[in-house]
This record gives sequence, C-alpha cells and structure tokens, in this order.
Amino acid sequence: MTTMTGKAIGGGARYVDERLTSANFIRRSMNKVFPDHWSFMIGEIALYSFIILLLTGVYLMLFFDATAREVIYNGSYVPLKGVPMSEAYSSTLHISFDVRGGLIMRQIHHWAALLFVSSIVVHMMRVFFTGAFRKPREINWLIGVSLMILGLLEGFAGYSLPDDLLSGTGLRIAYSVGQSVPVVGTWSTFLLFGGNFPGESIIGRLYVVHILLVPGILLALITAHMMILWYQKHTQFRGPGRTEENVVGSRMYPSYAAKGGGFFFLVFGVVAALGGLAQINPVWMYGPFNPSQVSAGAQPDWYIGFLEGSLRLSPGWEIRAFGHTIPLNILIPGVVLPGIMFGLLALYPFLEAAFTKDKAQHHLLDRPRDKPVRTSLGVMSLTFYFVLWIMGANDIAAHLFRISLNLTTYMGQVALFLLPPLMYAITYRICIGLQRSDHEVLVHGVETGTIHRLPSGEYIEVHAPVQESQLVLSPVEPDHPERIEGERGPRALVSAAGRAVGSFFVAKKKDTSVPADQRERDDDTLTKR
Amino acid sequence: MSTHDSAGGESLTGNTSASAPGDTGRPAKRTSAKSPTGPEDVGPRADKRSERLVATCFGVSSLAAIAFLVVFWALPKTDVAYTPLLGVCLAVSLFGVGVGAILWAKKIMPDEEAVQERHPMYSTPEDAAKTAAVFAEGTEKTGFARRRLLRYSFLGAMGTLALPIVPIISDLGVHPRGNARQLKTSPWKQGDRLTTEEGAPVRIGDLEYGGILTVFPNGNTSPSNSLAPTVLIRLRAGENQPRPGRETWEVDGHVAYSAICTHAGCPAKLYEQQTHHMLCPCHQSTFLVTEHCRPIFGPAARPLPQLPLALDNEGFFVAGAAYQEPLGPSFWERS
Repeated sequence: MTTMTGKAIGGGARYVDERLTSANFIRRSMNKVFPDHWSFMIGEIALYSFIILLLTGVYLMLFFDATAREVIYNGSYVPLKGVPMSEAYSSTLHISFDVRGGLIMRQIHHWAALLFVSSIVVHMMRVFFTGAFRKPREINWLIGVSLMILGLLEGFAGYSLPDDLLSGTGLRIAYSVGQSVPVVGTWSTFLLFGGNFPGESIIGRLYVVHILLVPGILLALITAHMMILWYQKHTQFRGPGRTEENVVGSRMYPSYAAKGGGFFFLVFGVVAALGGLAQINPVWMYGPFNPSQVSAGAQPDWYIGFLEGSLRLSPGWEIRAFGHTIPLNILIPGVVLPGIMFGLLALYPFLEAAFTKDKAQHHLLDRPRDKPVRTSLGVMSLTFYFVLWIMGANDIAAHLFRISLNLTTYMGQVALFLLPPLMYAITYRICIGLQRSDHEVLVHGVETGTIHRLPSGEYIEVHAPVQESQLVLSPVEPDHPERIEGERGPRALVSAAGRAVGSFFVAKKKDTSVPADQRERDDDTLTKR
Repeated sequence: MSTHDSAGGESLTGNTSASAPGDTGRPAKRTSAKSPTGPEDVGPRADKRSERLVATCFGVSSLAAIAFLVVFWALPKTDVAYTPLLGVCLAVSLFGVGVGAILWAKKIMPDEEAVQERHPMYSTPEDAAKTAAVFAEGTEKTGFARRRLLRYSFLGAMGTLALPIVPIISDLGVHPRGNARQLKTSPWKQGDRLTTEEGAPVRIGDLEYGGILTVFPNGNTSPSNSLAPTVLIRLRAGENQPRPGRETWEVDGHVAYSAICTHAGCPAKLYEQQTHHMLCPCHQSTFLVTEHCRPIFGPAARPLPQLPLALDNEGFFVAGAAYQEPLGPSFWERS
C-alpha cells in the first residue's frame, strides 16, 4: 500500500470513526473467519440472484403498467397489431419489442427468479442433510422456510403480471384453489380479486404484492438471516483442528471478500448469458388472456409444478351436504397438502430434537451417512415432492414416452405412495453400507498400493494404519437409534493417500497445524460490549 | 510447511498453509512486504505471470463492456442477434470481473487458513437472572399486575383498535353477501343467441358432424364474463344419451355445455370426436359428451353443466333456458 492511498484511507476512516466509533467493528468484521466449502456457496447464489432481481426489477418497473384497462395494441410486434388486450400485456410487449435492451432485462429477471428459488431449495437440502438446522440455528431455519415460501409467492405474482394466456390460466386455477376453502374461500377470493374472476383489480394488486410487499419482507428476512448467520458464525464440516468451539477458514478480508465478490459476478454472468441466449416466457406467443382459451401442454414455472401435479393426481372427490359444497379435489391437493408439506419442513428441527432428545448445541456438521434416519427421511420427502413435480408435466411425459396420458396419472398415484417408503429403505441401507466401509478402513487401514508376496506364494496388499491426523472422530452418541450394533460408531472420515474415503459433502482438508487464536476471545462482530 | 503471517501489526491468526505438492501454480506470495516464502513459491516470474493473467481478465471485461455499448446502439433492436449479443457481451464483461477477482484471491493473495474461537451461544446464569430482575422491577413499577382497571381497559383498547381493520379489508372487494348470488347467476338468459367469437349467430348446418364451436351469449365475449364460454357440439343422430328430463335440450343432434371445467375453471374443450371425450388441458379432467358430459377421468367431480338449446324464429340457436346450476369450480355456498 502506497503512502498516498494509506493517507486517503486513513483520513476517510478517521472521519467515519469520529462519528460512528467504527474501527473495532470494522477490524473484527474484516478478520471474521468463513469456512471454505463449495456447498456453502449455494446460499450465496440465492443472495446474489436476489440482488440481480432487485436491479432488473427496478428497471422493468419503469416501463411496466399494471392495469387491466383494455387497449388496442399498436406496437411493433406485427402479429398482435389491432388485438384488444390489457395495458399490462401491452406494456410487457412494449418492453420486449420497443425498449432497447428491454427484452434482455425481462429475461435476466425471469432467469434470476428461477435461480433464486432453485438455489434456496438446494441450499435448504444442504442445510437439512448436514444437520446445520440444529440448535442454535432453528430460528434461521424458520426464516429460511419463510424465505422459500415467500420466494414461491413472489415468483407466482411476478409471472402473473404480464396478463398473458399462460399466466391468466395460472391465476384462474389459483382463484379456484382459493374458492375451495370452506366458509371463507368465496369471500376471500372476492376480496382479493375484487369480485368474480378475473375482475379488474388483481393485476394491480399483484403488482403491489410483487414490487413492494413481498420484496420488502424478503429484504427484511434476508437481512435477519444474514445477521443471525454472522452472529452465530458458520457451521463447518469435521476436519483436523476443527472443533465445536472454533471456526477454521479464510478471513473476510481480503480472501473471502475477493472470492465472494468474484462469485457474485460469475452468478450474474451466468444469468446474463441465459437472459441473452435462452428465451424464457415468450408472452407474445401465448397471446392476451382470454377465459375461453387455454394452451395445451403449457407449464408453469418449475416451482409451481408440484401443485399442478398434486391437482392432477387428485381423485374426483367432492362433499355436498347441508347446503354446502367442499371440493376435496382442490382443497386437499391445493391447500391441505402444501400446508402439511411446508408445515413439516418448518417444524423438522423441533421434531428431530424432540425425538432424539438432543438439546446440545451443534456447530460441526454431520455427514449424511452418519444420520441414516434423517437422511432417509429427507430423501423420502424429496421423492414425494418429485413425484408431484413430475406429474405436473405428465402430459409432456406421456407425449415423450408415447404412453397413455391416463396411464401416467395412475402410475403417479401409485408412485406417490409407493416410492417414498421404498426410497427411505434404500437410502437407509446405503447409509449403513457407507458407514461399514468407513469402519473397515478404520479397522484394516488404508490401501498402500504396495503388494507383497508371501513365502507361501500368496500376494497381499499392505494396509497402513490410519494416521491420527487423517481421522475425524465424531462423538458417539450412546443412545442414537441408528448406531450399528457392536460397533463403536464407524464415524471416521479418512482422507488419505491411496484411499480417499471421499464423500460428496466432505471437505477434503489439508493437514494444518492450527495456531491458537490470539485475539480477544469475544471478537464478536455484531455486538459491542 | 507453514509460516505465521505477521504483517500489519495486528496479531493475526493465519498460517499460510502449503498447497498440495506439484501444485506449482499457486504462489502464496504477494509482494516483497510479505512473509518468507514457502516451498510452493516459484518466484517472481510466476508472480508476474499471475498478475498479467488477472489483469487480462479485467481487460477482457472492459472490452466486453464497450462491445455492449456498440451492440446496444449500432445494431437495430429488431435484429435477431440483438438480444443474444447483448447477453454475450454482458456475460463476458461480468465473467471477466468475476474470474479476475477469484484468480486474484487464489493466485496472488496468500492461501492462509485462519482460526477463530466461537463465543458461547448463551448468557451466563447471572446475566440472565439480572435481566429477569430488571424486567420484573419495571413491570412492578407499571402496576400492570395490581391495577386491574388499567389492565382491562388497556387490553380492551388494544382489542377495539383491531376493529377498524374489518371494514377496511371488507371493502377491498364485493360485499360478501353478494358473492354466492353472483357465482350462481347464469350468464345466459333464455333466448340469448349463441354467437361465435366474432359475434356471428349460429344456425343448423354451420357445424359438421363431430364439430365443436365455442359460443358466447349475444356476442358478449368480454373476458370479464369469464363463466359464459360454452361449447356447441354436433353429434350424429342417436349418439346422445340425454339425462331423463333433458330430452328436449338438444336440437337436431346439437348439444351445448359450459366450457368452464368444474374442477379448477380452465376451458375444458379439447374434443375428440371419435370417442366423444372432452379434455381439460390443465388437470386432464375428461368428460364424456354423449353421456351428459359426466367426468370419466381426472380430478373433476361433476359433469359440465348443460345449456338447453332451442331455435329462434329466424332459425338461429338460442338458449332454451338459463343454465340450471352454477357454472365453474365448486365453492362453499354452491349447494
């Protein structure tokens, strides 16, 4: 650092410090340690896509007109010239065809939205399968579940705004789902839509939801999510020198800031490339919304697909009694089922803690194989979800594989109840198998590649005992249900030459000699005491 | 193997750890001010090479950003390559910064590993007790527990403050009592002409056998009349098996049914004339047209409502009567 820049930074820092007393806070923040692991970057993707969404969304707001007022289109897209349509649809066409760079902004926005929800879901899988949701991080898990649900809502509201035929069909179904709720359903949908479907109000109201209400809540929750993460510090995988009491990794400044900042630009770059090269939601091909028309084979954005699938799988059940109708064929797949799914997801940390009677704090992550019950439950739930999701596109599957559409539905109905328990059993068995293979390495050592010929003529391979530094011992929980009988817990990670008992989730760790932290112990970065 | 990083005066915790042997491209060295070199350091030439590499990334980024401007203004926005080229320029520009920053971190900044102790995730019992005591003392001072009149009137005021929310929310839409009536009212009245999307009335002969036509009441194709779309289908004589009491609802093999699916409200009008199946593309409810559109597959629970047909004195199709049941998806007040 040259003296010139040093002086400039010093002067600026003094100015701020004499007003905010910020030096200690900033130093602690710069020295904050972040553990390095690729799977910790998935959550970052979600954060970065949110930033991209804010940037592109503000731009789109400048051109989009969220009104249902009917206009006659007179823009440069010739096939729709003279067609009556809503102002919302017309202004979307205007952004796509008449604003320079408008189409790429729209497409970047849409791709970033898909990436946002996708990365949240994958991030949640990471947190789930490694046990990162355990005490003391249950609150952040709940915030995360809320972020995911709000992300779905935000996405649905967003792609409903252009008022094209595809999104209008989605809104029509959403209206029917709302209407199916006993007692309050009709009333609440009339309030929301301002009357019978489609009404005049919904586009304008969804716009407020999409650009102000939900993004505001998302922003607040993301801030809370990250402040809690910052305060509680990251979890980390087991490894040499890593304990429940420390964090091993790279410091915020400069290493992590450079990598994280660079990663933001990579994510943005990928989304920009998609936005430029991969067409998404070409609303001009669907035409304006018209309740008497529908396009066959049309699919919602992927994160709504599981609801579409559950609606398709439902049998035609309906209760008519005492002057009232309860359409179970919508209520169960459209309201009750997602309610149960999201409810169980939110409650899982508390359920697991209650069933395992685990009240301890955890900062070291589990390997999925070491918690077969949790891993199997997760795979089981994902299987259930994926069956629903695939069934959201069963017409396309039927077309692709040239089988009867009706057959795909029957298959889905069977698979929904058969596959999840089957996947539970298979996953459990795989976990136990992987544990045993770890155990074998512990007992017999690592293959060295050295072959000896014994005097008897027999060939053997020499196994070297596992070095202490290659071992990462997990505490053996005495009353843990999935412990294999007669084994002292095969929970060792070996990452050694010759035989890397690798795992998808385990950080390969170099041998490090770790010095003690010489700073004051309370180097907390959020609170000053 | 490892050396303490002692730059900057602050007692730091890092140790520059060795990369794997043979990983020669990762010199953990920045400038001369840095700590002694490790075995992975391959000297100033590699260092210069890394620096040039990172600078090249940033340079490419700048060039791509300028190319973005050129495409933005020079190309007509109707050009088929306009959006793809913008995307490529923007992506290259962003990638340049991203890759450059990450290479900078990996190749030029020292590869150090730092350790930080966690702070305990709970307060000491003394702290917790003190906090509880402060709260209890404050509550005691308010007299909230002792002064019943204050307590109840305060809670009452908070409760009544919630009341204004009710009319504010309820005025967002139509008054609740009107709901069911509006949903139950048939958009078709007796004598309404069946008109095409273009507004033309329909007469016998306009439809071939097995033909299907979407019709609207008296030319009202407004999207706000979302339950009105109806399909007119021409069956061959004797194919229709009407429900008892509906024998007169067909006219010369023509039948009319609501196009709005009784499941989730999509237009169910993908008609297959060989099997007389009518399919809703949303959730694949299938209705059998020859048997009063009863559901034979999928999630729908009810047949599509039938519109009685008649001919007016000019020979055009009209509604013989209004729909006899509410149209579209089910709702609580339906029946």
